[in-house]
Amino acid sequence: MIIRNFGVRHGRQVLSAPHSAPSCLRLFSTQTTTTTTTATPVPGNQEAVEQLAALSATDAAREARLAGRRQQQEIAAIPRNFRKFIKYQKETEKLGSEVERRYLPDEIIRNPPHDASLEDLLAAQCHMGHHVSRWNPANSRYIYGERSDIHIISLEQTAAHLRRAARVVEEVAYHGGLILFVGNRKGQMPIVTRMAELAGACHLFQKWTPGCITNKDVLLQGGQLKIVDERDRELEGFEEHLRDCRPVTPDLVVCLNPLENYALLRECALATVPTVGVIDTDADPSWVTYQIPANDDSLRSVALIAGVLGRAGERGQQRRLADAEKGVVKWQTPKDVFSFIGKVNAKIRREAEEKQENMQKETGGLKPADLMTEDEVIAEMFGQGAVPSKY
Amino acid sequence: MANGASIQLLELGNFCSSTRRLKERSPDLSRPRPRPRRQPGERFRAHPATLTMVSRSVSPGGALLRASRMFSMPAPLPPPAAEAAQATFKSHSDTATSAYPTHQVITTLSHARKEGDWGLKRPLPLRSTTKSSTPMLRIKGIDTIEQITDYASGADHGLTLLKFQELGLPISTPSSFSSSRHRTDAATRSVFEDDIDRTAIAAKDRAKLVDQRWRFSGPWLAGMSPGDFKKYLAERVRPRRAAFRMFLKAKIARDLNETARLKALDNAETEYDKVTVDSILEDDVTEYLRNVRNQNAVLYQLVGEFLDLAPLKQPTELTTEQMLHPPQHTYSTHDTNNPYAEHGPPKTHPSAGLSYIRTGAYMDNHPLYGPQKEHKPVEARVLRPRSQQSYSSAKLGVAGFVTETSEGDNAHNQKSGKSPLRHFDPDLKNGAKVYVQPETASVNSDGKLRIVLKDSVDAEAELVARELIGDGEGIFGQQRKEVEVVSQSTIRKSYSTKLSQGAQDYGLNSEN
Repeated sequence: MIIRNFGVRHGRQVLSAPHSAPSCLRLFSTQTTTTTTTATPVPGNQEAVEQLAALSATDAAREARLAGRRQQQEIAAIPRNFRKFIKYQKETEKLGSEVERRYLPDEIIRNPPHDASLEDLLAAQCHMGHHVSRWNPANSRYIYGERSDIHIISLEQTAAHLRRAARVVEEVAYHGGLILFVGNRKGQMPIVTRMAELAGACHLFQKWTPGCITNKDVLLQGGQLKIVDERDRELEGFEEHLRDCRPVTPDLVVCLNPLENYALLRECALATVPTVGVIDTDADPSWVTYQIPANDDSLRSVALIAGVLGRAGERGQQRRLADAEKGVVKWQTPKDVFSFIGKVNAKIRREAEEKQENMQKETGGLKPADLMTEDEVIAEMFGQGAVPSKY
Repeated sequence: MANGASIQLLELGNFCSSTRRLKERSPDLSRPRPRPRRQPGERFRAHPATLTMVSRSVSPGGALLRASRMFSMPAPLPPPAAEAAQATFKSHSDTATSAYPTHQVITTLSHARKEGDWGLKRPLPLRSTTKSSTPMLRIKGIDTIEQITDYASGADHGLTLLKFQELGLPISTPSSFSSSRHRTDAATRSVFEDDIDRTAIAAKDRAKLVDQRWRFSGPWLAGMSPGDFKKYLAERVRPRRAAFRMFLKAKIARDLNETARLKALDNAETEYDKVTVDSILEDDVTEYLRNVRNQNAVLYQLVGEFLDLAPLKQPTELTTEQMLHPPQHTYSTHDTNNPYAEHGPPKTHPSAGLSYIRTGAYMDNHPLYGPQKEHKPVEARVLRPRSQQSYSSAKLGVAGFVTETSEGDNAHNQKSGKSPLRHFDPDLKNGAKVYVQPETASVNSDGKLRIVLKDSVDAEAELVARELIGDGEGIFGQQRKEVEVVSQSTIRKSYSTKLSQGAQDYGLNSEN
């Protein structure tokens, strides 16, 4: 044992308990010393044994009394010892060193940053493009140079484009848009699901079924939908509409590997759905609306970029809900939902009128308000079901 | 097996160097421009689009990239020449470790390794990178046209480096003898001594300080094959004829001025007519060349200075051919004390990055016995015992390098006893091993390491070394302790008693 470390290693024990000499010795040695006592039979005659037994009977009674007293003392000492223990614990808890873990690979997924600095991007290998022979010349504006036969993507370009894309995601989330995160390479599932969870968005980590946008009426028939209000509470009374309405399309698609999702991006372009994509040096930047030039092969790079976008979506959702609490709603009810609400209102009004006519016929002169409760009068005055709603 | 290039274990995993403020620049949509050809030796080439943007100062991202670990990876060295030649023969082994590493060995943190994150373009396959207990890789290509990262295990040279560093040997300048059978004088010099390790030298001082250098821009002529020499003459020397004549003019002018100065000094005059380089005629140069042609030493000195040739020296050791047919003429060159003149200068720094200690004159300390007179002897594998017929020395493997026992009257060559150095025992499991004491190590111009062993191993030092690893009888005759097999219940019992003791120690019983 190194003596200078003794205080650090055993400081707590030394402070908390005054050791006797043998126990201090025990701290220095690594071998255990156990002494066991065994009962040795006393050789002697019968009388001696009986005398001993009589003696031991009186002793036993005294022992029992003593034991009882000792037990009481022990019980009485418990709170005092406990207070002492807490006191020593408080005194010694600041001793020793704190072990800090500086790098955890999944930290970027569990707690992604709100913005990526150039250092973050470099550490996440965002700058590594593909082999120079695989480049797409359309990406030349993002390329800083070449090294070790690969293209190096400019970190400034990546950072600037990532911020622009994050802003897009945030505003789409703020305006109540439906966002879809797509990443269907091996290992991207935890990234995509976590970021979709953060941004309150949908995710796709398997193959995109071609036609889910352009042929959605056939492929997505019978998919579950719900109508929610501005505070994301589900609204009732739309069962009829939900049965008849068309499947929805996303308002923004974030694609982490555009190369494998040509069909998806093409459909988005046809349906004028804006797209955000991670563009490596071998990808065609014209496939997506908002490019993020970065390495799309490294999971760390993709996790960082998706993390920043997920956080942006989270900010947008938080802002939307906070504004809704204040009564500010920046989005409009979709046309089909709006027309459905109008139809329902007209129907209710018509029914009410019919009812009124019938009652007039029956009562002959009495106004319907005379027959209604106060609540019913208020409902009649302000209309029913004119609550703003959305998917 | 030897190391010629530096291997450092680099962690590419988590790198961030400096914190700088982000300056954004709008994308420059420049017109396509003709791309400049890469110059030989140029490692990073800026993209033409970037060239238009970047002014003299480098962008924040560029500065970060330059300081990054990916950019600090050295370019691979050319493979050992002997191996390239051997590759055509059947005797070449694909699995043999090359004489020196050509690629930087990298490693990564254990957490990142589980994710396949080696700081490269893409995560590496877990199946082949997570099972090794020596996580070292050499990267042959970060990305290839097949869209894969080309990597191979770098554990061979990485472990060799670690084993060599455990020896605690300094690297000394190469000796006159190429084989490790010849023990040289004990007075060896470290390659890090200031008077033989100078690289930052002004151009005008290069010729003067030739004995203090190991890096030369010209070749070492004695190591060139005739073909290489012809090629060198045609490609590098011939185009520089005019420059050589200019160099000679300067030399003639200098000589004339010096003569004139001395003459003036003799006549007790302070002024003399200075000759300028321009006043030397072409005919003077031709005449000077005709004179110099017959003086080998002078000519070599002039040419060597002009082409920055590595110094030459007659080898001490004669080859078999030279012994049978002694050379008729020996061309005298000027005497040089450069330690690399005899066998050629090294390709890398003469230490090859294997060891950075300057001397072996330090003492090992034993935890019980205190400072030791001798360094700790090491166990060497007997690769081939000493042959009686061919009088060849025994080949030993020390820390991953092949070496030979020294010649002469020493402990290795004693005939008494049944030494594993003399007799091959086929029944011995894992092969025979002997304790040896490495003395010096040096790297030759081929990048091979030459370890020279001491004539004998100190018996006491060997005993101490054996005892440290629990092998055989100790100094006090203690037998090596066998590991006891302990049942689980015993372990549990011992823990439960310890726990109860611990509670008492914390003052939770009434006695305190």
